[in-house]
Amino acid sequence: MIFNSIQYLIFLPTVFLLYWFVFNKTIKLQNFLLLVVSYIFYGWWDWRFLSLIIFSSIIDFYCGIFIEKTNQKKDKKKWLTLSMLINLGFLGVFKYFNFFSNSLKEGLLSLGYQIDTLTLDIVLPVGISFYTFQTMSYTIDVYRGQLKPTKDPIAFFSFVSFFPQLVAGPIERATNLLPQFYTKRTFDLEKAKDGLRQILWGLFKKIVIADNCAIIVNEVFDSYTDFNSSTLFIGALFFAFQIYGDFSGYSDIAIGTARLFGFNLMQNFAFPYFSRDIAEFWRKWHISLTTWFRDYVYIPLGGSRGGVWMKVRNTFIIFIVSGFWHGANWTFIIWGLLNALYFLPLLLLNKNRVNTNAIASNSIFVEPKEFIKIILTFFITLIAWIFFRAPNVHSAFSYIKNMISSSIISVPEVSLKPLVFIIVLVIVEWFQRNNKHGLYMNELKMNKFSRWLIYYILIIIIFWFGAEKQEFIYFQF
Amino acid sequence: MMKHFIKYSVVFAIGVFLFVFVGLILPNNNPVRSVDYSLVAKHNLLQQNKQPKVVLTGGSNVVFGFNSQILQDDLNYPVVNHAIHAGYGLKYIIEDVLQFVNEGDVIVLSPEYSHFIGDNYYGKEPLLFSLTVKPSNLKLISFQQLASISEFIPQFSFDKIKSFVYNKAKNKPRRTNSEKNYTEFSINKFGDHYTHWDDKNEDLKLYNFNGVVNVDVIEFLNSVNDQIKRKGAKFFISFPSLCRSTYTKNKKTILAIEKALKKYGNFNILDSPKDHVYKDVLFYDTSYHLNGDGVSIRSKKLASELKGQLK
Repeated sequence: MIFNSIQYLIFLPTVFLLYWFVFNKTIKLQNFLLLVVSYIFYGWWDWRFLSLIIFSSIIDFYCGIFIEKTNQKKDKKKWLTLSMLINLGFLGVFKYFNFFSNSLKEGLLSLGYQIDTLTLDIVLPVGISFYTFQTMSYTIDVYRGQLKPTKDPIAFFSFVSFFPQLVAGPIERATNLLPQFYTKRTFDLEKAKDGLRQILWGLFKKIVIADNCAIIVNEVFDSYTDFNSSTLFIGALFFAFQIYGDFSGYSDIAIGTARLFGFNLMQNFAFPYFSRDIAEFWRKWHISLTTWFRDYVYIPLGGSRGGVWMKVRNTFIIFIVSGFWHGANWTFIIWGLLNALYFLPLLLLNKNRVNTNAIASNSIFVEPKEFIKIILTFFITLIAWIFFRAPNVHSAFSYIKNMISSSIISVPEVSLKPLVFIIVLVIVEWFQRNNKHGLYMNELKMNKFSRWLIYYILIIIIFWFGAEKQEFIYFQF
Repeated sequence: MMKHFIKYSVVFAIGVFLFVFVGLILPNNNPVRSVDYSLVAKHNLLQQNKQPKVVLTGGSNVVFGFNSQILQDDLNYPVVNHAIHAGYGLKYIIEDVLQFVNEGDVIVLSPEYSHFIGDNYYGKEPLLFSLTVKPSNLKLISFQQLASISEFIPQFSFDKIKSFVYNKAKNKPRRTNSEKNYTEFSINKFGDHYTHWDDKNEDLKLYNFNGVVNVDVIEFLNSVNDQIKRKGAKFFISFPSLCRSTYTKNKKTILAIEKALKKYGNFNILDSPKDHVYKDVLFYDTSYHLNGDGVSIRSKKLASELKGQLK
């Protein structure tokens, strides 16, 4: 089931009413309801893959208990290793097997050896990278002693499969989300209203921004050799906003939905395109994944505590792994590598935490110097996005080569209609840059009529200008 | 607090539903109306013609696939081309034509291959257009059909409002891709789409219809065959015209559909899929839509297939 569908429009209010009016006697009942509806939500795509989530949940539930039961560090490690092997094993088989198999074949072929490798004809289960990372965070935190393992299977299974964020995040940390399944949830009117606003803003970003950009992006990337440089630049620009609208839109809907049920999910995007350097960008883009890698990979590797070599090594590892997490393709690895190269100078010069303050905090307008920094940061991320979107590394390089030519000042050969929506998005989000989302109104002194007018206008815009429905990009990860 | 939230959410939602409802009932103020509106003329043809007749039905492969004059001359039977759009779904198309079947009639159905895949036979967005043209056909709609088209209702409604506002503001019809083709006036006295017969071929739209064959569709066709028989009429299936490129791409699925039809169907099948696979140059704009030359070939072929059956 996808968020921008009529099925979800029926599903959400039905679950909401059942949750607060029928299953509201105990937390256990509410958790049970969440578990059942989450499985229905996921099974809507392909019920067969539910077995993977259930299996992964069973393994991690028991691994958590056994890790706590045993006093031997060696045994604790065994249970943690089992959990890691199974979760990463699923990812390896479903997501990376064919990549490694084909890469081996091509590598040997380049050395003059021809071999037939095995490839699997399997579909990638939706959201597998998200829920495996979420459940791994649980066993790791239990192993580290940062979290007491739960003895309540319903709460744990609901935590793993919680439908708002099951298929595309935010990747929640067990320390944040799991305790919310033990405590009584009370209905908070302001939180629920704000949740609905966040859902509406997410739908706007997905349907109006991302889906409109997708039409042009697909056209340009599919036949980039036929277009002039300015068109290629527009294609890359629109992709930057497509992926932002698509993914942050999904996160907004997920966070907003969770708030309707009394849950607080972590913020996943904090207006990243207003970043003044790449380090700030990575503190604001896909925050749940970035912090996951920071906490469970970067810091255990030594972080930035060691010497220069260790800093460089860890930075490259973290970005390349992050790229590889997105997909089994060299394009994602290059994308990660490129971001590591962008980040490295800041790290080595100790300037990676320079821009931690709010941008233009006391003014509507940004200072010229900061504005230039924002534009430069956006431009380098845009170049990296070309690798993310291109079907292969060769196409990405050709795309960039064709983009840099004298025809960059010519008239683009595609419709610029999405640019209007992008401008609206940038203006609205600029004014909301210190809030949690683009339609945050809790502190605004506005009467009901004005607020409702804004909601209705936004709904009309969504239907009026919304493009043909496209699947969320991050479902494929 | 909760009461307050639900009360205002319901009031707000009613506002949205009202807007959608207004869109649904809004009249079509476009002077150049789409081919969907030819349904009224087709119903009149079926109603007026009381003597035994050949009724061609299916999706656009039929409306773009025949010159009924050729069939009429060859078979000595009046012919009506009832087809309009595959997107109405096979269930709706057949139940619509069943309202007009009389004793002695010969119903020839050429379903599109996509009708046999998944739940396509319940219909998609185009069905909403047909219901706008003929609201009385709402009685034919089942719960599954309603579920299948429900996701298109909000967008359909907003598009209608958009078109209405545009036409009002400009005081002139909104230009469609082709004002000559795909309109209610592109239909001849038999119900065939004929205005494209002399047009130059456009870029061919190729299709993929991969998926699992839905056997329920064949069960449905069996029940249709029984109903038609009870009315003293005859029912035949003829495979749709298809361009070679699309056939080659989808051969496996097409053969699976043919196999399933032969295995589970209790109706007469006049031909096989490859009998109606034609060269790409005989198609106008999509893999199913024949041009003038293609229409003549297919019409003659069907006439010869039917001749033996009508004796």
